[in-house]
Parts: sequence; C-alpha cells; structure tokens
Amino acid sequence: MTDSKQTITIKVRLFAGLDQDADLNGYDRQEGLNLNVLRGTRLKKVVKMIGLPDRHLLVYFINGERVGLWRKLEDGDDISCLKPAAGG
Amino acid sequence: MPGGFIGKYCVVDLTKGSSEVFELKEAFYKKYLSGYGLGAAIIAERQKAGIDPLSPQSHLGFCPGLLTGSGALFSGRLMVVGKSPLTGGWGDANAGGFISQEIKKAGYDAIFFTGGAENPVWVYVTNDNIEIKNASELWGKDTFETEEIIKSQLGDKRIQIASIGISGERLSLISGIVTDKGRVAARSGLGAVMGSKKLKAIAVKGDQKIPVQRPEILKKINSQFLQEYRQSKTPHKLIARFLNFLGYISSLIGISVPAQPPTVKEVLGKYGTAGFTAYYSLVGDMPVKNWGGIAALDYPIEKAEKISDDNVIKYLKRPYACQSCPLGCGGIIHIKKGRYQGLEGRKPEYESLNAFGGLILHDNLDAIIEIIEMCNRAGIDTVSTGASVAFAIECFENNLIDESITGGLKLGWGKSEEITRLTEMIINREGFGDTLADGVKRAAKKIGQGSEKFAVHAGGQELPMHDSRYDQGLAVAYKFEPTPGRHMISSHLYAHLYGVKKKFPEVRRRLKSSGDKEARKLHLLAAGIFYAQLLNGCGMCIFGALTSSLPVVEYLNAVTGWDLSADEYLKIGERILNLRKAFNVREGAISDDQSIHPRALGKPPLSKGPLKNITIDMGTLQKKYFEIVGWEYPSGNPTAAKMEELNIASLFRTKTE
Repeated sequence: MTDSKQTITIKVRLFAGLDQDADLNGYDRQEGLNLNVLRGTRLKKVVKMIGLPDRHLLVYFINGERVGLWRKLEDGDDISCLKPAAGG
Repeated sequence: MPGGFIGKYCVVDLTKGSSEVFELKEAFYKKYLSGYGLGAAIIAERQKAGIDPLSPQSHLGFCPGLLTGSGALFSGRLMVVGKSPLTGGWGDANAGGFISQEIKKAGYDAIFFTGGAENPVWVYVTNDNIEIKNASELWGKDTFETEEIIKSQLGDKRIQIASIGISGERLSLISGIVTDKGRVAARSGLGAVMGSKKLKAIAVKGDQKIPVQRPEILKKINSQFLQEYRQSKTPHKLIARFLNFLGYISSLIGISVPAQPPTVKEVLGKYGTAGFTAYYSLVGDMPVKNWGGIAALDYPIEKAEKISDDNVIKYLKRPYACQSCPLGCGGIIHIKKGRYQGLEGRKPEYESLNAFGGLILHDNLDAIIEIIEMCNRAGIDTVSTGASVAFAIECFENNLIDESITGGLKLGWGKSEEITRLTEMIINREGFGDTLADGVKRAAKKIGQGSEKFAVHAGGQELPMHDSRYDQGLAVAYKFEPTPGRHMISSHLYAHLYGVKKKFPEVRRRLKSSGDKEARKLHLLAAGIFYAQLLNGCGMCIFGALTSSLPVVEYLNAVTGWDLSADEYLKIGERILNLRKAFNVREGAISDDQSIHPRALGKPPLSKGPLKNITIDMGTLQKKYFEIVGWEYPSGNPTAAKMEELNIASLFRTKTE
C-alpha cells in the first residue's frame, strides 16, 4: 500500500480537443482530470500516462507558469495542456 | 490573353446616379495586382488629398483579389478600401464570404462608389450592368434583414450582398460592412463612409468566367496543394523531441517554442480562432482589463477557458467555409439565450470573444454571443466596440464619468447586463453611447480629464486582441502599418509561419548581410509585411499562409501567365505597402498614424505574469525597421529614392486641393 504522504493530487486541464485525441471518454471540461500521483513525479510521466499524442509538440502550464515536460509536480498543481497557436 | 483580371473597374457616382467603366491594362495589374493594391492606386489617382472621408468627394472601393474567382484555393477575400474617417489616413478592411468572386463574375475587378445619394439607395450589380435602386424601406434595418429583403425582392438566394446596419447609417466611425450575415469588413470605419453616401447595400451576381491563362497547371497545383494540405502532419518525431527540449529549456531561460503550421491548421479547422483563447490567455498574448491587467491574475484560466475551444463549439450547428477555402474555420451556431435565442448566428472568433471577454474581464459566453450578434447585425466593429466599452469601464472606475453620464449604468469589469446595454447604446448612438460610437480617441477628447490614458489605440484605431508585449513584431505592425492597430499583417511569429525565409531568395540574401539578431528578426518581419500585402493584392486568406506553404507564386504565374519570380512578387508587395504609406503622407496622417498607447509597449511594465518586466524599446526598433524598409527616420515617410525605385512617385506629385 502506498503511503498517502507519498502521493499528491494534481489537476490536468486539456484544451482544443486534446481529450478527444487521447480518447478520454467522459472527460469533463469543468472538472478536468484529478489525479493522484507519487510525489516527485515529472510532468512527462503524467502526460504519457494520460496518453496525449505528440506530447512533445504541446505547451504546458502549471499554475499559470509555462513549464517543460521535465518539471517535477507538487501537490495542488493545476496543469493546462494546449496546442501552440497563432492567428486570429 | 492574360488571366486573373477582367481588365476594368467601375465607378458609380451616387450624386449623379450614373456609372462609368474604366479599362486597365495588364501592366497595371503587374504593378499593383488587385485587392488593395488596385484600390490604393485608383484612389490615389482619382481622389484629391485632404478631402473629408465622409464627403461626396470620397471614394469607397470593393476590390476582389487578382486570384479571386480563378479557382485557386484560399482566394475568396474581399478588400474594402477608402480614406478612413477613424484614422484620417488610408483605410481598408478585409472580409471573407462569397461576394468577392461574384464582383469579378459580374465583370469588374473593382467597384468604386463616389458622390452621395440624396435618399438611401442600394446598388444591384449583374453582368456588366449597374442599377441604383431605392433603399428607403431598407434604411434602419439591420444587415441580416437587409440581406433577406433584397434576396426576396430579387427572388434569388444566391445573390451576394454587402450592407451596412444602423451603425453605418449613423456614421459611427467604428462601423463596418457586413456580408453573408456576419462576415465583416470591420476596421477603419468604412461603414461610415458607406453610410455617408446613403448607400445601404450592394447586391452582386454574375456568371462570367474569370480568365485563367494556364488552367491545367492551376488544376495540378490545386490537386497537389490540397493533397498536401489535407495530409499535413506534425513535424518528424526527432524535430518534435528537439522542439520539446527547447520547451524544457524555455522553462529555464524563456525561449518561446513557435507554433507550427499543421498544429495551427488543426485547431483552426476544428474550432476556428476560438480554439486559441485559452492558449493566448496563458502565454500572455491576450490583453486583459483594457491592456492594464495581467491575465494570470485578472483573467485566469478558469475564466478564459469558458470562452475557448470546446466550450464555444458546443453551440455549433454546422461548419462554414468561405469561397475556395479548404480550411473552413468558420461556423454557424445555434444561439441558446438572449434576444436572439433560437436563431442562427456566427460562431464567435477570438478577436470578438476577447474584445468582450478578457479585455473587460467578462466570461459569460451567452452574453458575449448575444453582444457579437448585435454588433454583426448593426454592422459595427467588435474589436473597436469592445475596446470602447473597456475604456468606458476604466473611466467609470476612476471617477471620470458617473451614472449621470452613463444613463444610470454602473459600469464595472465583467458586468454582463451593463456591458450589453452599453453596447446597445453605442450601436444606437444613444446617450453616452454617442460619445463612444466614434472610438476611444474621440471619446477621450470629449471626456477630457486625462481620460486619454485609458484610450488604448494606435493612430486612432483601437488595438486588436494580441499583445505586442508578447510579440514585439506586433508593436511594429500596430504602429507603422498604414492602417495602424492591425494584427492580420505580420508579427515575428507570423513571419515564421509564413515561411518567408524559405519562399524568397532575396530574404535569405538580406539575412546574410544583416547585422545582429534583432536586425535579422526585423528583416523577417518586414518580409512578412510585404508578403501580407501580396496576399491582400491576390485576395488570399492569411490563414492559408499561416497553415501551409501556400503556393501563391505558382498560383499567380499559372493564373496570369506571367513568369515572375518569387522575389519579383515580393517587390510588388513592397510597392503596395509604400503606396498605402505614401497615401498617409499625402493626407498628413503620418505623425498620427505612428502613435501607440504606452501600455502596448509595456510602459509601465507589468509586475507579474509571462509579460513581467517587458518594455519595448520602440525607438531602436523604429530606427532599424525604417532603415530596412527605406523610410525616413523619424518621420516614416517613404524616401524619394524608395518611391522612385518602386515607380509610384508620380501618383503623388500633384494631388492637393
């Protein structure tokens, strides 16, 4: 059994159809994905776990700050995953 | 017989109630293309300097592009041109839909209107024929009703119509011209020019064939391009990994990983520009709270996401694509609430969403949809209107105006009812709305008390929803483009997506001999600006250029039969830019057209967020940019040498009152 002190709770928001790209049926845009992961987990692992395709081409923000996939996650992190854009 | 152009334009004199056709030779099109290249050349020739844009002496032009109607993909745009009553200089506005092609099929490369009717009229254009009709029953109707009535009267649903609504009729300087129920030539206040002529609408239908010199080659280009476009994928995995490594590095040292055309295409095709709202909010490209806020604090993702991507297309009824467009970024929605409940409307685009969203800290999507619909029906620019509302809210917050001025409205950030009501007042020029209906610069002049510090504009035109602090190329475009405050021209990111370095050997040559990194970026930016002029001379959609390696040179040579090089076409783009700029010099708009609100330059800088501490050194940028494009510093006048080089000096020699 995993020690609860070793797990953290994070929230992942997916935009511009990423939930569909990852075949996440029932994804709730309001709720996002609330996940429990081990403390020290890197964003890279979570993104891979969710199954986002072309994850190296996406843009990630945690609590409004732009980060890379190597970033270590902390309890309460609010992660946004997006496709980089231009125009309009 | 060359292709792409008809070889004539028409001038309708609404005072005399007559029209006249003028022929143009091939050399003219080779020099200026069509679109706003043709528009600027004709107006510079025909219209004297210094005239009031709302006077009968002004010209208003509807100018399809050189490739419009040829069958080339992405070629359906229309340029509306004239002297802008908003900025006092060159004005143009760009719209999609289907009317552009129809004008050429009716037998004209452009239709200009001059004079002014005594009573409201609409003009019916068919094959080589112009009829001026009584519009007294249309005056006062919104743009949607106008289209329906005209189509019903003519018994033809295929007629393409461009009209003004109440805002244009009432000469609002932020009014535009609407076609196909919500495709809007919004900027530069050209709706007021149309209204000043009491021209309610133009209705166009033609069935003439537009000549194409090498149809088999055109067919081949289309087939190949379409196949590549549909299959375009994200970059190779190794490149993707490299880009992601840069993404990791970016978190440490702030390098931005640029968007790639296939990804932009994917999002645009599915969501339109509404697919970008959340992204722009997070990266800092979205101006919030009248350019004085910080998105991460004042309009965080919890708010921004309400007006983004899937939350917007929940309303989608069916997609919409303009003429000859394989992308189809538009859409028709089912309106669920408010005064238009149950009706169809246009899927909102990012500019409108943020003008009534983050710019005023408002996240009620149903209310935003209602407001956008009101603006489309009234024929008023959503960007300028949203900016005017933001200005008013900030004035109210700072006690420069109160409820006695606003007609009882307690203005505040994000207050749906008050925002909706104020927009209605602007549309109708009712009470305080009349003060705002001519844009923020004039509103600030009327209010006084230092309110100009809240009037965010460049050269008199309200800024669009892309933050120049995020992409400093935008600061250059906003300040120095002949129509200031416009984003659909170029930026550092656009120049990258356009692929100007790959497309144009001259650009590569200039980069080799350019100096530091900043100079190289400006060379690319300038090339992007020239390229955008070329696209607008062809009637091509900028989104085509942002989402693919658009074969515009190949298209031009196939359609026209010319065999010009890429660099020669880019030179034409440079000519068009300088033509429009020279128009401003002649009008005396040059000093004004180079002003920009300090907030857009990071003065003062923001204290937090991704744009923290960014201040743009405009002086240095200006000097380097002017050197690159051949304009005098600090005036911005194209040099005499540049005018001669581009062979446009003669247009401006003797044209004063």
